[in-house]
Amino acid sequence: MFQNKKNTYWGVSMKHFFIGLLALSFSFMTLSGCTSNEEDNRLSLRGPTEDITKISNPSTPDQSLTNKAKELLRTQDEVTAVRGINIDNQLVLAINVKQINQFTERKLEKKLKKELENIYEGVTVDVSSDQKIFIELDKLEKKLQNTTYDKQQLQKQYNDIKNLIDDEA
Amino acid sequence: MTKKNNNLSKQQKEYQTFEKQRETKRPVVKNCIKAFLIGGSICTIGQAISTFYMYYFNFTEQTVGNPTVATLIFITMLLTGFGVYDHIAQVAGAGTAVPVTGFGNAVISAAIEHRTEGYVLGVGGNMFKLAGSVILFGVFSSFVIALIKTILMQWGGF
Repeated sequence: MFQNKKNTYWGVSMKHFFIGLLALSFSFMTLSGCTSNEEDNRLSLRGPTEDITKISNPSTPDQSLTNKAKELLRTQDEVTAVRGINIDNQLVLAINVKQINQFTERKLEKKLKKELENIYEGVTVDVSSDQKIFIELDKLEKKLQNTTYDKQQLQKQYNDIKNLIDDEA
Repeated sequence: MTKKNNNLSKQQKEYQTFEKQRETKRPVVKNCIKAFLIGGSICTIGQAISTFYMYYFNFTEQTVGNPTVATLIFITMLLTGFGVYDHIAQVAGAGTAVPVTGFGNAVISAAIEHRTEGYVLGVGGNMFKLAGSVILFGVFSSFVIALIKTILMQWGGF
């Protein structure tokens, strides 16, 4: 009744202004999370139960170790998708597991890490089921496939991902 | 219950049956469905926010909980201040009380209510009037869980 004119923005009340702003920022968040602007040229095997990608770009450090490790993880029933990179004898993999196996994904991580370490002796293996690591490796795989990467750049990216895995905070 | 009923006088028993006949029955199933749907939507929003933080910032699944909770409470603060959250809570019931947004609403609504009593004794003193018990039992139960975990880790050989 005694509405103050100062509390209006372009004729819209402050309440409606903020609610609109909230809805707008939320829809931006959702839409930006759902869209991907990166071209995906990886060789991929996508199905209802598995999502395995392979990098085959001769101008980047050899990724055959990662591709072999992915083939091995494909045989696991719990694993639905794998992303990863390797640089020399350092291998980092991220897995997505079935919804029901989310409760035991930490155990699965350890089991797969041990298995891979036994197969590839002398290789530093890291397996993570963290969604963040999966997102980062997916982005990096796309970049590796599409652009030229030298060893130093890849090592830096590897170190960043390793820091995220080791982050206990 | 039956023992209690035996001690009641005839008039009291009559009144009880009278009351039962006229009492509006609570639509429990309908309320549960509403709470499930709206509570679930709040959780979906929370999931979207945490995915956003993971995608664009350096948060892992372990650390993303903190900014997500802060954002949800911030949104609740605005919605409570504008009186929108109360309307949602009227429909959803437990669906809005159980997620962390319910805690935020309890803190902020108490702060708004006691604003007229001053910032220190009013807002400061009464802000955690409703949410205080949540904090108390939250801290206490986490202490008990930590104690059990420590005992199991130290002597259980896990």
